[in-house]
Amino acid sequence: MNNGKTRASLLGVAALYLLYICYELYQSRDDPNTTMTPAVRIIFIALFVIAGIGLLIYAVREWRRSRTDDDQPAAQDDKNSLK
Amino acid sequence: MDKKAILAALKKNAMLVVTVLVYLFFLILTQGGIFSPSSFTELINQNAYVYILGAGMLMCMLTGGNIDLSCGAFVCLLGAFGGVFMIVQGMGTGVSILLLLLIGVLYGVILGYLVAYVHIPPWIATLAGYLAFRGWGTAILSANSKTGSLAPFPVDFQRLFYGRVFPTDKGVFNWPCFLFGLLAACLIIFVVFTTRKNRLAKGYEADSVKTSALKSGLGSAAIILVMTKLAMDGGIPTTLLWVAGVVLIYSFITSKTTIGRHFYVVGGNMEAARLSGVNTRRIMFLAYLNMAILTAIATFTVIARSQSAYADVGKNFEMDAISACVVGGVSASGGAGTVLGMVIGATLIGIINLGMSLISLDANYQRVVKGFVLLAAVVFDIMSKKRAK
Repeated sequence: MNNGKTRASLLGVAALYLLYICYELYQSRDDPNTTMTPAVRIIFIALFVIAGIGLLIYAVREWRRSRTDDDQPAAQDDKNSLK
Repeated sequence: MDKKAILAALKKNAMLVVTVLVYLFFLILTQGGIFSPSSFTELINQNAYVYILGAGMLMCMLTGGNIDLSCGAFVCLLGAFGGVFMIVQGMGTGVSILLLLLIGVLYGVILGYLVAYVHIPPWIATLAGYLAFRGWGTAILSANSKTGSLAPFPVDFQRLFYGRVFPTDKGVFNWPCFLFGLLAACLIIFVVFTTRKNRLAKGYEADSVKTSALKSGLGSAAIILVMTKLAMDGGIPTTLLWVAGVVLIYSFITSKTTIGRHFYVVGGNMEAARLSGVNTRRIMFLAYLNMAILTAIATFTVIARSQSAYADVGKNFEMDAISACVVGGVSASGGAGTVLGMVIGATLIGIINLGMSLISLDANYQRVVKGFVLLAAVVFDIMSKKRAK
């Protein structure tokens, strides 16, 4: 199991959790018991959406980077086998 | 001790320092409320599941950053089964516990087989459980109860997982609890110095006498403080015994056994481990079987504390366990991390949860704080990886 890919998956899960927090904050907008003002809620939702999407993009890039690292040794072997 | 040595020690124990600082922060915010005897009991009871699931998640993450997304939903399902066995069917506590453990083993075997031998990525295999188990558990509860929850669990079950050892009334000092704390403190000092002596005898590097004395002194003082507070609040919670048992067993496995070292080796470099003769498939299988069994044990503490089985139980448990490991220094790439680190991470999360509920912080702000803690841990992990490169 490729550790780079696994790490990227874990970062992806963290990103999805941040987006899930945004969803929970949005769902609680009509809660009469909350002390969070709409403006503060929007700020936190925006912050977590940016962080979540940013982390997701980073996780995808890490995944692709580790896939490239996986392919490179195979290419090296092919080169050697032609000799 | 010179300045450089102090800074190096602080860096090495950064998470422990952060935990103490966060505790002091809430101590001021709650005006001493978090230092009360009942808060110490609540910290242990409320967060027992984080320590137990954290130990299981640690073993999974050691194998290469693998996680279990289904543990929270599996707690809901097992809670529903537990409710049916003990409340609806009226089965004995012992039989019900055995049946629930068997269900845990069955799930662990299936999951371990899918991950280790069929090579399904763990996060996909456990995502199926995350999506299915809560619905299944809710269906069981709805079919057996008009309110959608099952309560109350038998008294002996609650005593076993949410009771006290040698209980006394609150306000009466519990001497067995305090003496147990003194014993544990003496044991820590003995273990630290014996380990130092053994390492020196084998020619390894060891801490100086001063450092060993400081480490063991601080550890003992912390234990005596906790046990004194628990003694003032009616005695040792049985939850603490379950948590301590799990932590000690897994500390031993990860540091003193061959199979424990194999978990680290598989996480460090799976191919090298395989070529060295380590049965990597068996290690992966055991990681997920172990996680399922620990999830069953965590379920007992959770449903005993809530005294009911309900549909929302176990929500976000997997994220709490993962956060405890990541905050405690378990590497997202695998091959690094300790049980002590996980315990510190779980304690930090527990203090944050307890502090927020003591100051009656709005649920939305609690979510925001949890999000920031996770973000900080992830950023720290990314920066550490960049520095390592």
